[in-house]
Amino acid sequence: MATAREIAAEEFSAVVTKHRPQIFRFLLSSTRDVDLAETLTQDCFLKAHRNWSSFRGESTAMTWLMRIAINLQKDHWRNRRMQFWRKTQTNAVELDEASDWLPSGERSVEQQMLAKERVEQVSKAVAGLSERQRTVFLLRYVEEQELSEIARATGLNEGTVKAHLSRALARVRAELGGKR
Amino acid sequence: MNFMEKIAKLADGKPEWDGQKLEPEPLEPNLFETLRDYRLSVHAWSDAEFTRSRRAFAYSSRRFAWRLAAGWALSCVLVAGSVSAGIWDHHRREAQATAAREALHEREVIEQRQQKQRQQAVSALQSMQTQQKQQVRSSDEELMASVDSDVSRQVPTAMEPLAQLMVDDGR
Repeated sequence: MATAREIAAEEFSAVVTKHRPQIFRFLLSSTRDVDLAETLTQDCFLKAHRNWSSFRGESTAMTWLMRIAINLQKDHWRNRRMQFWRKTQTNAVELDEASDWLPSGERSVEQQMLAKERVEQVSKAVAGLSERQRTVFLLRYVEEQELSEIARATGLNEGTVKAHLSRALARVRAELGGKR
Repeated sequence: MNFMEKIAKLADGKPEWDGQKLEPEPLEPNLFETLRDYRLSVHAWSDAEFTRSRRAFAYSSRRFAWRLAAGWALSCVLVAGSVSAGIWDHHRREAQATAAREALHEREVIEQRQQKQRQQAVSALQSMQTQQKQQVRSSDEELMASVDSDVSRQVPTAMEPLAQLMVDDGR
């Protein structure tokens, strides 16, 4: 007969399997640093494992995990010892690396080149956003979360989330518009 | 209909563009399409890195075991090498010290022998000089004696009776 601890461990294991790629993706798109994203993902699940018993299910597990990941990322950038890494970002990819992974689909070569260029512009604009704007933007347009979910994950109210999203979009529009 | 389905519809060129309801503010079709491309590229990149990091972890754990073993072996070789080098150096220094001591001892022995030989030579020379002096002195005395006898024999024969008288008188 399985004990409560074993059941909890199984549950948590299922949560890790299901949500780990998504947490990693969010951290990777936010930091643009593979090693850092991997480290923060591990820290996120370690923290989640320690606090798994206190998770009451008021929000989805994904929202809860995303909130932990956002806080860890915030702590990371605020940590003075890491300021050097923030400046150098040795493992951070060039802005156009993400665009290299753009699926070709059924586009012509010209369309593909154009799409790649526009993705690079979006990447550049996202890199220039403030931390909060970037988080909201990525949760909305990369992780496809609803505004209410974003509000719960970031601890902001929906109005603030909308305002950040609006500013982020303005920045992206400006970047895309300026390059035309 | 979720966000992805709506985007898929947009990508298919269907006219149900409903940016007003979907977004907090309306998005132009071009921007919407660009954001879709951005999301797809991030997803593809993340999937590739996620898979690669897991493969790399498995590979690196195997490599780590090999590296650990190689590290231990190398450490053992280094320790053994440094110990044997130390012992060899100690032996070499000891041999050098022994050789130096022996050379010094030999030099001292040779010097003592040479000094003894010099002393013997000096003493031999001194004894030779003494002998020579004694020989010279004895030859002088013999010469004087022969001279005396010769002189005494040179008394003329005519004076012989007078000489005998002088002997008889005791003068």
